[in-house]
Amino acid sequence: MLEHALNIVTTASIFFLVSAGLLFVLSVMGVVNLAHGAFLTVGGYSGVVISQIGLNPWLSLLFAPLIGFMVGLVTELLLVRRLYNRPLDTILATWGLSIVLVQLLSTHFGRSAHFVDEIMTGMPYEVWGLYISPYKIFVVAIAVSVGLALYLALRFTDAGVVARAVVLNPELARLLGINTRVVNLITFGFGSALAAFAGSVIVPMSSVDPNMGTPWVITAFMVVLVAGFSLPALGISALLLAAAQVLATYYVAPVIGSVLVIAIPIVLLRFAPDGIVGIMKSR
Amino acid sequence: MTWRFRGKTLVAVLALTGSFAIWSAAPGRAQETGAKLGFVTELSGPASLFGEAALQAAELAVDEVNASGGVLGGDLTLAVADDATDPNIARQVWEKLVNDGVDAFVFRETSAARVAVLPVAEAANVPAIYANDYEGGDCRRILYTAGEIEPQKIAPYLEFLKQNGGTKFFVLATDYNWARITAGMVREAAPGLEIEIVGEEYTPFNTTDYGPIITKIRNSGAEVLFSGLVGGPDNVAFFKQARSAGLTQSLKVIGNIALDDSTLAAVGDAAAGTYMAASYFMTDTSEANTAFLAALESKYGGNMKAQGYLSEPAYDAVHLYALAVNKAGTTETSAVLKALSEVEFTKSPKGSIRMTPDRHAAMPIFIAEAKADGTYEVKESLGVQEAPKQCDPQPPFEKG
Repeated sequence: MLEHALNIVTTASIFFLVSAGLLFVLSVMGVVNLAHGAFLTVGGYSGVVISQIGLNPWLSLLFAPLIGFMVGLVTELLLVRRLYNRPLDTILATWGLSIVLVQLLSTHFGRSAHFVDEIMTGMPYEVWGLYISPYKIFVVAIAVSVGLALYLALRFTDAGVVARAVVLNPELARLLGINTRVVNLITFGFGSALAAFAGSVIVPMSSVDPNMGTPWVITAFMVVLVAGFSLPALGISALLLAAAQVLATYYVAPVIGSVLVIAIPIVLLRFAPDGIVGIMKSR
Repeated sequence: MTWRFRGKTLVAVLALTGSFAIWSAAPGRAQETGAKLGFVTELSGPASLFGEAALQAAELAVDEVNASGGVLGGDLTLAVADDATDPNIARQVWEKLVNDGVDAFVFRETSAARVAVLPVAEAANVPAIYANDYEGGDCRRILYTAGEIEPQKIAPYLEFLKQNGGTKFFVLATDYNWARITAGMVREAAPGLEIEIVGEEYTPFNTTDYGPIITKIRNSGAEVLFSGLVGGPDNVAFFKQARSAGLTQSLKVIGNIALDDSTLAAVGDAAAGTYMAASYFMTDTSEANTAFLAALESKYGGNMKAQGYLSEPAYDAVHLYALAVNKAGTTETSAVLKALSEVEFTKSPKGSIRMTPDRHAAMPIFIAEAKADGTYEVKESLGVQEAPKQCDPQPPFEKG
């Protein structure tokens, strides 16, 4: 049972990391960023570049979000900015952008898979007959730190107050002298940086290829859909879907595990249209 | 990566084609010299890693054939075509080569492409030699296979793993046709070898999270893991996570069935200590292989591609064809098909390879151990393994 709990927490951490940027952009800007997966892929390739140059793989955790942030800024200025208040068009435009990004990455790096140096190596720790790998500790620690940092930043910093003001009422925020254009620009850059960061955390234990973002953007979308607009709810949602995937993979079959991640949100939305946030508020 | 689709939809095709063997006795061409061999492989797309290596092996074989007298008193020439790892393109280039008048085909393509192109060769009545490893069972009358097939190595390999690890096996494989068929062979062979299958799991291509699977393998009490994971991404993800979770240390033995030399190079030290069974390893230190690699090196220098059991059969296939044509004294199809069932190529880098009347090949199978630097070290030879009976010999091959 403990092993399952460990696997669930690790998988949930990855789900949380992958979806945090998507939720952030969606809640502040009202934009469903389907290029999220492509930004994650960009983060993966940042790790590839670091590995190819032969630098310390830890650097990819800084390099990836930096690249992601810049790509996000350019995307906001050239594309997303022109499509405010046209949510459907934004979905199409960001999906189109992700296709372009994926093709650019394929042209430069080739279609085949790349592999990245491991950030955490070393033997697992054995506790109560449980094998805990350093990588799992690393992933969980990263996810908890990112979650806490985001939560505290939104609560206790000026930027956080501004962001929350824009979330609650963009019109009023603008009337109060908040430059919503700048807020949106920074938000999108930050969301992209989070995606790229998630990419750089995932790839050392799997692999990088141009299409790796597609399954992740679907997972991220589902986690956000189940959560609703709230950071704690995102954590619960990640845990819920991770539990479904891990337990179904173990007790039934890996395919069922992947199917559940998509099926659960569909069923849940039928009964709780606002996601976990809605359930939490109605209590 | 989804190369190497080894379809078994061919059962249906088999039933169709086997029933009407139009054994057209093509009029013998008078005083022919030389032969033109169509060579189709993947020079672009996901499988180009193997295709480019296979082309070099085939070109080297053509040079050697011509240096030692050629075929029918003339030169053996190669008409090369790229199938782009795409069955549709494969069919088009086969049609083109047939129109160009090739005398036979040697091809290293995916099983999906094999199923797509062979009707072209059948309709044109042109012999074809498959230079790849596959699961066996393709019995089209114009087809010979120069690569190994899984039925020829599963049983002795399982025996080896049992001797070195134990009797409790867990089977993990990528969820697609070839791997499931191969896992089925393991399941079938297990009781006779007193092996107990304590668990079986099939994961989709590009699985990134092997955590639950690793837990399952550990909890199954398995001593031996038999892995049919295919391609770099899944092997890398599994082995890195398995090592990080301590699974590679707690299992006694891991035996791979699809981890070729090039993929192992990508996996690196995470798979160190695991085994693989194949007819050919590039790092084999035999005299024949050393000579083969030296010849490739002098022909291609820095552009030489890494060889493996998925590319080297192209070399054997070209030599076997040349032997068959010279034995038949003609490139005429039925005579070449008959001669192909009787030839043996003794200078293969793997040792000796002998074609059989049921159109598959007997060859040595080796066991190698993965080293920390991402290469294999050949540990032992399982000796020459006959391919278990695959096809009924065609009427023209029956003697008496």
